[in-house]
Amino acid sequence: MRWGESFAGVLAAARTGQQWAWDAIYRELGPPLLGYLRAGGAAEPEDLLGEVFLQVVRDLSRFEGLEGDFRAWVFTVAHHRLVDERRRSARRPVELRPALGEEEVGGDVEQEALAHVDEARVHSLLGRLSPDQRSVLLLRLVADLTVEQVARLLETTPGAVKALQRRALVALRREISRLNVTV
Amino acid sequence: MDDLSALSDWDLDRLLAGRGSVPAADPGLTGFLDEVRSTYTAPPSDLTRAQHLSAIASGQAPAEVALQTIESLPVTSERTRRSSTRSLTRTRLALVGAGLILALPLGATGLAAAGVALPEAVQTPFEELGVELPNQAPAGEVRGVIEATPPGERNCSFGRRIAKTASVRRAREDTRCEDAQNMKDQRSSKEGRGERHGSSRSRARGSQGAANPGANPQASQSPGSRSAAEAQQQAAPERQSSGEPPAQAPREPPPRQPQSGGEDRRPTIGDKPAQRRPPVDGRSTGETQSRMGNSIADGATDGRRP
Repeated sequence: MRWGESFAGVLAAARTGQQWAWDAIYRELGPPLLGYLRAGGAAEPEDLLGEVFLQVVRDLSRFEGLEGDFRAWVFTVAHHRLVDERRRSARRPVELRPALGEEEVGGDVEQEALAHVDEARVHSLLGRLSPDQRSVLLLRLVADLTVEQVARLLETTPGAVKALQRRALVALRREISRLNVTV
Repeated sequence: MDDLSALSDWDLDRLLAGRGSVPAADPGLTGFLDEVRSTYTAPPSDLTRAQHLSAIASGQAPAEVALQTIESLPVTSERTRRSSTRSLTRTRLALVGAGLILALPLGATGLAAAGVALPEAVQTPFEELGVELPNQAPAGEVRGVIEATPPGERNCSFGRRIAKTASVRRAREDTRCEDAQNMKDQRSSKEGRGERHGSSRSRARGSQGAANPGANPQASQSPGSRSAAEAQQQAAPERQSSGEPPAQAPREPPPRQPQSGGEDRRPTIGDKPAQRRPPVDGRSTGETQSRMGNSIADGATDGRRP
């Protein structure tokens, strides 16, 4: 989508180790990948991003497809890395936050949302979503994947993805309206 | 449920993709989605980008490099522990080897000191080092004796020489015995001359004693028995000095003196065989003792045991 006709050349150059090709791939996919990992709750998103690109470098010879498929494939690698890190971090005691719509939101959450207007506010609101809702929303918003691509990535059906994204938006809208009333 | 229920899937796709405006959507929600998109699509820092690109070029992630750097510390200590273990193992092996090397000569020396005849293969390294094992015949000397004697001359004396050379202790004892024998022979030859002189005297005394038998108890002995007893007494210290037992060292208890002089006593069950032996030729006990003394003395003068 971004590269258009030149994607095949970029991919071939990347397979032969051309530095310019990897610069182009990193410039195109690095920011959304880093955002997806950060929003997904990675402890060290930059390090995890490096591991994702390393695996992409190793497995690039096995990839076959177009630009959209390549983008979805790279985010699939990132998602699996994120899931692995969540499993590792699950062994450590972490502060669990209930998702929006499943638990009542307390007054502390409102104060926290007011204090962090920028990223902290966004992160806090996304943190109120369930993991599946958050993943679908981030893959649609940040990774710019289609419903079908997200469904393949999450190994579910497109209908389930649509339902998840709709519930996520409803929960966010309700929370945002509550914050606006409070402010 | 809410206002989003009126949105179609196509509207939701446009809302999430940020393309165009969705009239039914809440402006607050639309703004929040734009904020999420802008927040999480910020590019990484230049340093992070440079690190990642260099890692991509080298095919190694910086996180793994850092992880290896962190893990290199315990790995280094592990290597140090392995090296120390290896050095300890080498030290133990060296000690075991040195112990085995020392155990072989020490064991051979101990066996030699205990009197065990070691084979030539064991003695040869010691001889090459100039070490003489105790109680061992030098193999070279035995071989020298064998080679020095032609096959035609290998008779009994050759065997004695071999035996003497093979056994140092026996050779020393033989030498000592030969020395004692030589001294004994010399003395016996001297005493033989004195005995002949003394026997003539005793004969003269015996003739006198026969005339007066109760005057001297020794006069009752047969002629020559007195000088034989003297020779016997003189030979005893010589044998003692030469390491031999005294001539009268009784292997059997000496015959008991009859309780009544000259009276023949009938043997009883508890008597020893020597005690039950009747006097020789029916003579008196004094005569028997005299004859035994003569035979002992003769043996003593000859250098033989009775």
